Amino acid sequence: MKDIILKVNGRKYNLRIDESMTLLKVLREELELTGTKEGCGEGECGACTVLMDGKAVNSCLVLACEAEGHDITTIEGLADGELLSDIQEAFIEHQAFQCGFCTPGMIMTIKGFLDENPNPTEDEIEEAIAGNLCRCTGYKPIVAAVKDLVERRGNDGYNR
Amino acid sequence: MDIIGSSVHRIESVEKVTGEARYTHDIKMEGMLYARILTSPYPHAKILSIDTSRAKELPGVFAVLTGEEIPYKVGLYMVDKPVLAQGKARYQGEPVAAVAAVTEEIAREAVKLIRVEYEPVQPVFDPVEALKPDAPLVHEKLGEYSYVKGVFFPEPGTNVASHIKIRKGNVFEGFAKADRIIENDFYLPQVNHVPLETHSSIARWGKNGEIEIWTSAQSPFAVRNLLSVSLGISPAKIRVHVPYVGGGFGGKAGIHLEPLVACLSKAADNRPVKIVATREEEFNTLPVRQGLKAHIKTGVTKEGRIVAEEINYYWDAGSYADYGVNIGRAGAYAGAGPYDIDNVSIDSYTIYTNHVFGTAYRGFGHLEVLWAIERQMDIAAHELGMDPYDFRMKNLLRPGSITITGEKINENTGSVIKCLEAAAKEIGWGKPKTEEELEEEKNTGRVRGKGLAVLHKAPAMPTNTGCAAILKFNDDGTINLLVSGVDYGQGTYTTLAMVAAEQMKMPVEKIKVVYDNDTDMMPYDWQTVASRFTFMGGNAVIRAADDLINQMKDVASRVLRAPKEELEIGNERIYIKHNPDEYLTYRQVALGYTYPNGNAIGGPLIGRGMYIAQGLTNLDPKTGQGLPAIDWTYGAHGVEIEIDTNTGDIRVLKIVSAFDVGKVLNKELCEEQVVGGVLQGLGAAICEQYLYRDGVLLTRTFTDYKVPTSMDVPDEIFPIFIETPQLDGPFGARGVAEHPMISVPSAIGNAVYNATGVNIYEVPMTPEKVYFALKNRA
Amino acid sequence: MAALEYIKPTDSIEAYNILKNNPGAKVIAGGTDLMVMMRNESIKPECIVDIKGIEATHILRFDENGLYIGASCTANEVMNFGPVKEYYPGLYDALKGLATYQVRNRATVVGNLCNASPAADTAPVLLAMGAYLDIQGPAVWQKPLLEFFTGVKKNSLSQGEFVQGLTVPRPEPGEKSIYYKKGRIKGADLSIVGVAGVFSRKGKLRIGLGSVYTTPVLVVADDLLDKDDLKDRLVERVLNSINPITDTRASREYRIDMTRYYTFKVAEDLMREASI
Ligand code: FES
Ligand code: FES
Repeated sequence: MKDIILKVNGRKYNLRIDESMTLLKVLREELELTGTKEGCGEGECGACTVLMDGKAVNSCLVLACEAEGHDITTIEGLADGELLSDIQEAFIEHQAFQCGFCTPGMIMTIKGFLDENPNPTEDEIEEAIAGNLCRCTGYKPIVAAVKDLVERRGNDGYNR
Repeated sequence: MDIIGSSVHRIESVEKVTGEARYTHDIKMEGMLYARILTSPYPHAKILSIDTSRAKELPGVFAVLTGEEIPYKVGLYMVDKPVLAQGKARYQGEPVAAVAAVTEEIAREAVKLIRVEYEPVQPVFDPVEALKPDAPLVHEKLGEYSYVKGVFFPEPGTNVASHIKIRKGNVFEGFAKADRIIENDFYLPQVNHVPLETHSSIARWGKNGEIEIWTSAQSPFAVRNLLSVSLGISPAKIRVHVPYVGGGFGGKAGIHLEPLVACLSKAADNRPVKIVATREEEFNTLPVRQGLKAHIKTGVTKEGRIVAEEINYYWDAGSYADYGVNIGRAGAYAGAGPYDIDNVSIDSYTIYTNHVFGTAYRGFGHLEVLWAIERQMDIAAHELGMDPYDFRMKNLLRPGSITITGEKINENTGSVIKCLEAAAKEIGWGKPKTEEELEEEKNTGRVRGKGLAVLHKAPAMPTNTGCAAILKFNDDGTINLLVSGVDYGQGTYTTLAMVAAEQMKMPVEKIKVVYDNDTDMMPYDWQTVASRFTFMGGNAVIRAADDLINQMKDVASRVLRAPKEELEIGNERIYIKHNPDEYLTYRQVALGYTYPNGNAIGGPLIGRGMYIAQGLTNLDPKTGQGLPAIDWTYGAHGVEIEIDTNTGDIRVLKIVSAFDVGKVLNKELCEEQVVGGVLQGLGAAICEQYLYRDGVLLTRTFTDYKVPTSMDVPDEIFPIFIETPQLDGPFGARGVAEHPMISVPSAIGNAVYNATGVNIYEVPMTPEKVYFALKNRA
Repeated sequence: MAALEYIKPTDSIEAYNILKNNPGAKVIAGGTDLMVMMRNESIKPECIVDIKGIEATHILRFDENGLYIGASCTANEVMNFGPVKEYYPGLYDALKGLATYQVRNRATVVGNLCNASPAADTAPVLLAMGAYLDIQGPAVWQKPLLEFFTGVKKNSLSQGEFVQGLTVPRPEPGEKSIYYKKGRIKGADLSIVGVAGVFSRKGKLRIGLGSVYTTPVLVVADDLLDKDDLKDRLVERVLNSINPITDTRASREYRIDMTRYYTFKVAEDLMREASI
């Protein structure tokens, strides 16, 4: 067992955890932030994607111990109260989800990606989310949502 | 009609984009234990002994169960599946023992301490091999199983779980009239549904003998019913909750892990027990889409009319066929495709093997049989030197045609011809390649081709399938809509809210569809499968609305002192037709009308509506004649692909998908069904397959089993909706949930031929398969 | 359950000593392979040594000696490092096709090599580029990448040793490189075959190959450069150097044919580019 301090969505948590625990497991079970999903547990589906210092990572492939000292952002940290982030709004506008299970991971990947590459081409968008499996939507509405978002951000320079 | 046909966003949108939507995976309960299972390493083996003593001693372990302790069998149509293997294991991956412990880690450790002694016995993997008289039997006691009699036809002493026959006309006479006879074999392997949320269930078996379940399932009432039958407990003592579900596609229809966790809970001091399938278990332990081997013999005249067709379907049901027998049945009565053929003979065998067992999967056998049929139709056309479009047009069902089960097609049945016309037109069928294009193809080695394929499907369900809906007023005149079908993303709740709003003439925002599915609270619905929920649920909601309106008018007629017949509704008011200023608001009648002096009448209003399938019959055991379908949705795909002949890679440039949906209820959701379904069909067409070595599954992770990613989508997906109203459908609508994936493989297979002149008979059309087909052409 | 220890040293020698004295210890950098192996219990380490605390493993630099990639540098960091796209386009290609975007945010180039999978995407191109490794033992010493792979998932590190970084020599002026990967689908997949090529008119033609042998393979063909039937001879030499297997991803025959096709394509593309 090990004591660590995790910073998640701007809050700090003191935790005593088993060293073998993944960040995903700590988020879901210790912190009860169940918005982050597990679809495979081995880095293949992207449902567990969170941001670590702004970069999209598979939380199932990160030991919680490794995450100490880094800023973690989960889907729960995206909206400001009832004010949704523009990515979330774009997802609703384009109905870029069906069952919704891949959605939190998908949104977090897109968040990390757009922060790094604010002006991607369609190919780059498809490339970026290729590690997020979605069995429902056929991806088209998701790509459309991102394209539209990029355009709107470009137009009114807003990014929340 | 201003709500119906518009695009309304999913009513649960915010929950889903914020991570607030709670799935079974996310639920944790006070005192909850975690279950893990031990699975068989052998595809077919006697279980000689199981020693659980060391597992039981591990601190933190509450219960360890084996098949002997819970001798229950479950099954929807054919009750053949033990909760844990009993006496023998029938597939590699079958649960043999299970543990409930305080943590998942301890449960996993305990599983490792269980010792099982197996004696491997001869397995059988190929459905056709399994038919041979000396084939090993997967179920020795088939004759003792209970099943739905008169609908399915098991053959005890063999591996045939059910044999369905369709006989129309006389195929011998038909073939005698044929100028040419075309005979081919086709194959499809098993595939997985790949819901992003794996199967997961929680059960608490209370000390009062009542069972409460939370589960990632498609059909709460089916879970309740099947559990009740299997355990011999009244359904009234079983309560099933279905929270948000992370994808189903048929794989969560019927019943799965629920009985196991229920039994574990009982054995573990009645504590709640949760199981979450790992992705490996989702592939290897939970059910799959059945494999299919098809043999088709088609007789055609020079003029291009099909005069006879003889078909054998051999379904690889895997080790259990509790659901699979009905796929064998649906694949039979729809098994000749949407064609008008006078002489047809179909034998559809659902066959036990030692593979992972099969279950419903989006399309329910139709993607499979239409792979065979639609490739066969193209091959037949080519052999006749005809354009496959013209050949189909000569043979498709049209008003006046009689289907292979004896159903007469009429003007309102829907039109496959219109679908094919629309798809062919949009894909530019028949447009020859230009000189430049041909030159370009030669230089790059990338050749283009187009393909067409049609499809049909009706809900496959019992003749007496029912559904009910409740509308209850809230204080402010808003309405809660209660149904127990499950919306796992397809958007049916949103559509039902629209149906209710349209009928109640009120804004859709004022209809709340209650998301917590609970068999104790919700009205009955059979199952959320078969693209039937919008149709049946829609009809039930319309009737519930009419019932509610009637009650509202009762109250209003007394208050307004006007006969009911003279009342009308609109704008959330009940008013007198000829004097709209005389009205009551919905709010005024919602919980009872109160006169100024305090007197009150009416009361809290609740509308109820039900719908039961109309006019369906069982099929004649010898000929398959009867009425199996409440509504047929027809469709057609047109596809253009590019094949890299150097590597065998297929790129889909465009796919046009046309469906006769009767009436588009929600345009956006309808289109999304198409896009999502087409991509699933593409997966089945080009990359998805179960591979085994000696009965041991090799494709057990996403590393080995590939599903399409965002980089594998067609460049363009183009949905088209034809609206030939279904007279008994809600606002004329039919279901379209499964149809988009049906015939996608066939259209692509036909395009491969169109591009290269090479016929492919087996899916998936992997780059390797296409490459060698091209290479071996010479 | 064996307990797991997690240690994050800040110093290379310290890390070496821990590893040396702990046969059950494993190095974690990106962890994208390690975590999967731990999950399916194909390895059961007693101790995890996180080398990301060691500053030197974060060095990413391009100078007269070439490109230095520290062991903690992720695939995306390397890919987005300006000189990589410009001077090492083949490495850029390989990184672009490596797993998924999120995985590349964790996975390290060095880890990709250390895992020693025959399908490691960066191995063929780094072999062709003549990369060499800085190995931390009792002291730091250098080893050519070519001598590093000893079998399927096996490398030549001895107990306690770990790779601190690698150097990719500076390309000769006019040197071109390229990497093609064939998977089953267009999205993330392990390669069926991977073919890398490095070419310079000054007398260098190297082909690196993945997924066609128990280890990544290097084929040196400098001597073929002045031959008229260079491409045919090159393909022949390549095919003589491989011995692919049949697995769930592809058959041996398909791997051979794809190796042939991509080797030819690599040679063609490199020479076309070089002549522009
Ligand atoms: S759960 Fe982490 S990638 Fe699938
Ligand atoms: S919305 Fe269901 S998996 Fe993406």
